Amino acid sequence: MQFDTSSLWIYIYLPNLQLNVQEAEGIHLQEPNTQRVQQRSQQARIVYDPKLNQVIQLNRAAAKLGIKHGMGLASASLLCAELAVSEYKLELAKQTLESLANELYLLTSDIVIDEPHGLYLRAQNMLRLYGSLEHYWQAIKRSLAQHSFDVYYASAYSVNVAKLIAKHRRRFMSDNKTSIAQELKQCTLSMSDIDRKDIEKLQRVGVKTIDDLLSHPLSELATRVSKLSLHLIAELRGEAPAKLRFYQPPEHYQQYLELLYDIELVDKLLPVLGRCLQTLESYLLVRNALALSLTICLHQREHEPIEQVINSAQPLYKSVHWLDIIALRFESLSLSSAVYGITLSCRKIEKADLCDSDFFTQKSTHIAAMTLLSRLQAKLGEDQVSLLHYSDDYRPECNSQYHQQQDNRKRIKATKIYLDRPGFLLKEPRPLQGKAQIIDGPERIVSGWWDKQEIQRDYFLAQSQQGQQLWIFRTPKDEWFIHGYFI
Amino acid sequence: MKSLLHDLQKKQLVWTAAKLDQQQERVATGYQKLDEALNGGFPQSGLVHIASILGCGEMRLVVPALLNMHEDKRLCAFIAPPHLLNAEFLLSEGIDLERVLIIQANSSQEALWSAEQCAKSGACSAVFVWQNTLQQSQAKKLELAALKGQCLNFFFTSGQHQIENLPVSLSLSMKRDKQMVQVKINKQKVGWPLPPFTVKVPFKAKLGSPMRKPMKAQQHNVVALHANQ
Repeated sequence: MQFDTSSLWIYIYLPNLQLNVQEAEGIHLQEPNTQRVQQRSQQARIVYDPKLNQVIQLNRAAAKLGIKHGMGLASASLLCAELAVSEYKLELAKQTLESLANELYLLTSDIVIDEPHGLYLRAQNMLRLYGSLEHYWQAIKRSLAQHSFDVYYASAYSVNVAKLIAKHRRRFMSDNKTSIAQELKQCTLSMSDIDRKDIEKLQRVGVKTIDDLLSHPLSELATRVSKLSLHLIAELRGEAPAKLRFYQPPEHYQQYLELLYDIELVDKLLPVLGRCLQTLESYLLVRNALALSLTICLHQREHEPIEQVINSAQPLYKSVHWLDIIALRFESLSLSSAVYGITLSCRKIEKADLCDSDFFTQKSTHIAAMTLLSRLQAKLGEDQVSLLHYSDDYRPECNSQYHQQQDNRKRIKATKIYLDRPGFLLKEPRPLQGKAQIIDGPERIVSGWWDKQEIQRDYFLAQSQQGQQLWIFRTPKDEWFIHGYFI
Repeated sequence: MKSLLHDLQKKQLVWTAAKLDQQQERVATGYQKLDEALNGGFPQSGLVHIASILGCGEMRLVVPALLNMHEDKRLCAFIAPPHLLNAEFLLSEGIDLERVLIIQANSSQEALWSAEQCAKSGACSAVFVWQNTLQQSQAKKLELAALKGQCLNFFFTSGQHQIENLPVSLSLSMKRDKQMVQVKINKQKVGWPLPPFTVKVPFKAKLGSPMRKPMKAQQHNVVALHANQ
């Protein structure tokens, strides 16, 4: 989408994204052990790109030891023996930016993800809502502060100007055009997105600073640089609009968490999952939504990932409640190899209904019943818990039906029910062995000729010598079977 | 010594269990003899242990009490029943099928876990469990869970060798004696163990087949005609 050159933009620059994410996870996982946390923050850590053979992100401890951006792995490890190295993953940066955009989407409408390091926010159309740039930025800042990211930012009336200033690791926020121009003049040309070859060409003709670039008319430069660079220059000068695609939040929820170290015990997974669920909880809470079913995928180091679909009988959003159900399910789970990552996804989000029933009547037991059902299903498996339905049939083995789900068919009137049926029916009638005294009968049931499960039986109430009251029947061939117990 | 006790009683400093108003806290069983033996019926919540062989009327003895728990429309959980439960039987006993929850368990551990969960959830008014034996510690757990969830937990065992003195609210043994059922109260919380007595646990109706009903009606008509003449 194109925009005029008069709207205010903010660029948020996150140069150490992967490092920050990994450090934050490490601290959360080892919360009780504060000493180790301190050690961890003091430890030199770098993110290394094997393709470029360069150090691309480093923390303060690493910088203190003399490690610099663009250094090779060999020289970096020579400087520090206990260097923690992690491989650069573009995917991780993408996901983090997306989740960040998702959070910010609640505060501001127009967000553009600029992979792999930053976000553009269009501030202009939010100013009226928040009253002023300060208030707007306060709200954004508060949201960003929840993460321990290294954040640099800048505002400008052009997308690329904001990005260029922010890339110089500034924290600059103003809507004053002259101060923005001043800030821009301090920037170096090499940090901009303009192609390196074109920068060289420009330097040859004496355009060495941003100031030079702005002072020459655009037409003079046009013949010397490529079309793309020309457009960038025009944008930097505030003469051309930027083309951007705004971020659209996805309809469903998905989160991938890469573990800092492999986990082999199911119990140890639960606290980590708890953190995932908390993010889900805040996601659902602000949308006034609930989830009925979650899919958890455990990525195993040497085996196929395990996928677990966890259903709740009642829509939930609270992480505590979900964790409760998940813990039960995980009791019966066994890992074939260590888990290195967890994906939590929720395909369908339920809108939370307004509570239309009375606060006091029955509501609490309904929720208790639904919670109970979810717990039982999670622990025992869904086919172990069933509900009973009555179907109108003369054959005794047909009229009790076990279902997993609630059936909304009409209830059978009690008048159709025979009162002398046994409480327990055997799955298969068993030949009668031993003596039994007949109390009452016979009652002949001939039915089922239409669906090939034909029966012809004479039923009797009988009592065995042990005192068991049996429901027995005789077939036309004069064989006797036990079919039930009167309990 | 006696006068001291008397003095204390006068000052109302002594509480005696006899003062307990037992009638109000009981659920009538629907069987007069049983009610008398149990001081008015089953307790409102707690674990009721019933030792009997399968099929001597053990359910029919306890189920009418459920109907006496007024306006209690909570669930009835049936845990690890040894055979298929018959919907028609439950309907004829007046239990709404919407309230019925059947839980199969692969092991007795799972069954006891489910029983405890159901009992303490507060979502069930009655829990029925079938197991071979009941251990001391299990009984204690289930009893506390039932008290917490305000529910009656019926525990059916078939084992002959039951441990005495289980920490339950009520423990019964049942045996069929021809037409009647012999009930022995092994233990009850407010009251004494009682020697065996007999209760009649009837069938709801003698064979209710569609063949019979019109016949009965005809007989009735005939009798009426005779009476008029």
